[in-house]
Amino acid sequence: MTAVAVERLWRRRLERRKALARLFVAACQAATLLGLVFLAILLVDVARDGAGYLRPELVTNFPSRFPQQAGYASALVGTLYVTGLMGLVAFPLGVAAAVYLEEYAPPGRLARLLEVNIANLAAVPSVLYGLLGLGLFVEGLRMGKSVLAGALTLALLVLPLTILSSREAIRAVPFSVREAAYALGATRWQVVRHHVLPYAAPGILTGTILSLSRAVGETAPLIMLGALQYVPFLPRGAWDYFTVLPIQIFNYVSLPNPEFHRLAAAGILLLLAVLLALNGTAIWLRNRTRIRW
Amino acid sequence: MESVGRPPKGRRVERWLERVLAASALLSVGVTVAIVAVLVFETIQFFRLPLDAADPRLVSVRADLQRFAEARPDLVGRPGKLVREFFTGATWSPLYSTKRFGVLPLVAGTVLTSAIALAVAVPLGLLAAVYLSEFAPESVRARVKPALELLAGVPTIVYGYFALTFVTPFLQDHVFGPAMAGQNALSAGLVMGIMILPLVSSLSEDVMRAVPLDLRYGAFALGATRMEVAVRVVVPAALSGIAAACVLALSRALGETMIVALAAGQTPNWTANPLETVETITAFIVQVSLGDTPYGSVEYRTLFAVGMLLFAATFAMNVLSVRVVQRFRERYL
Repeated sequence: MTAVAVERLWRRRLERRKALARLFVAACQAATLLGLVFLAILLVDVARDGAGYLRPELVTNFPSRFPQQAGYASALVGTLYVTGLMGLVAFPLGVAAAVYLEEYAPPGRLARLLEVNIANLAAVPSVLYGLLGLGLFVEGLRMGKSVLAGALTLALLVLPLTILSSREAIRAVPFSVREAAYALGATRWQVVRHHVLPYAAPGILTGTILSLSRAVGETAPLIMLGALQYVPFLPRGAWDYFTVLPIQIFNYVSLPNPEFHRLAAAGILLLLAVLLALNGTAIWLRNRTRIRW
Repeated sequence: MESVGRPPKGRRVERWLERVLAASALLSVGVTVAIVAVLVFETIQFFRLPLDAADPRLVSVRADLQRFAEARPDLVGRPGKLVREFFTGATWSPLYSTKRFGVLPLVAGTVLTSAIALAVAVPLGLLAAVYLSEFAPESVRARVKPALELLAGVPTIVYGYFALTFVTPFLQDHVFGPAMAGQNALSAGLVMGIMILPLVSSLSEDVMRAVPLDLRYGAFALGATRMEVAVRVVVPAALSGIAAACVLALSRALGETMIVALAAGQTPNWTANPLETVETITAFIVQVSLGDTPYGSVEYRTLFAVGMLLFAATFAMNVLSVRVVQRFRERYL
């Protein structure tokens, strides 16, 4: 083959390779776009289904056999109650564990074991936390199907997330801050209490709120704890029966009457609003209190 | 000078604080132990059913054991047979009067929906990761990546609603017609695939960006196109991380509950047809929990037996993903 023929062949192949590359880039773009389009369709569909039920009764009425009169009052209050109680348990435990792992734990087998364990816990399916809650809290400790059992179960579920995000925040505090404090004779706890924690606080709070919001949307573990029931009252104590938003939504979706599906869609909008409020707070907090080193 | 005897008060407080913090960290190990302990204990109770049903004192006071003994006289006193039936039987009906305990239909449903989800999430997630890491301008990437991650933040009950009330009717009307059941593996799997897409794309993108630029420069200098650099250089170099991401995505799909409980159905079905109703392990757990399950009853025990199976599967996936990274990681100096 002459040099000219070789060059011609090479050019033709080059054109083909370039065309293929353009096609590939387009395919990558399309794949990325597809996820976003899906999200958009989902939101529009839910909003269209639920718009008709967006009225004050949605949050003031209790569940009912008649979709026109049914609402999410007990579910909304139950969600706030369970999430709040869960935060009270998960927040201190998560921060304490994170402080220990970042500031105290000597590097070695124990630290390694703890780290692997937390990573594994974060990947355990949430439905299994429900089984844990059922076996441990509801039956083992005789708490019954109460707000407390639900809150504790969810606290265990979000604990690994809280630990992971708090560790990130603590790690972001530069080492020079600690060195300066130690040089002035501060003890380890004083360094943590007066220097590391104040600087890490915004990050810790943001991470905690984000893990709380994960629990707000959780349905499966709470079904196991008997939260799926007709609750025509607001929970008043930690030992009361309860229901939460996602479970009430599940309840309505399971009913054959399509009117209830629309009510469920309205409930989803309510749930998304709660999540948006939580995430918005977290982002606002992060932007307002961010420290640049 | 070091003091002899009791340390000063401040130091004692310090020591106590350290112990409290250490205890909080150790609690996470306690949670793991508790999960395993509860599952193992109750699973043993499940396999002890034939022995309990052979005990006349227990049977006389427990109606559910009585029903078990009447439905399955062949199992009474023979736990080994129950173990064999559990792992090899193709009929699962512990809630009905026939009381068959073959878990394979639930496993089949779980594997089928997860396989569909992976078939969606892995190709799309990888292409999206390549786009974000290799082709997208920084400004686009900064906006699109968090937007894509929103998909992972949507509560799964919302996906379940969407799969049941939008995707299935849409596919019935436009693609499959009445051959598609109202609850089916395909819709649930498709939607689940979109849900785990950001898991694949975000983790894969992180490892692709960690591939040193020098490798790309080298490939471009040899005349490679953008696609050739991405597919033949970057992806192979990041393969260990990509594989780990896919394994984690599989683990998520296996354990996903609300989407399959709503959209895939609650009828155990030993089938590979994605248009049919199937029940997954997680959907069965939900189905049982919806009814009244008194402590220690036959239904209560089956919950934990299938839960143990799910835990073992997801745990194996998580260990595997760590191993994959350790074994196949490419190191650059």
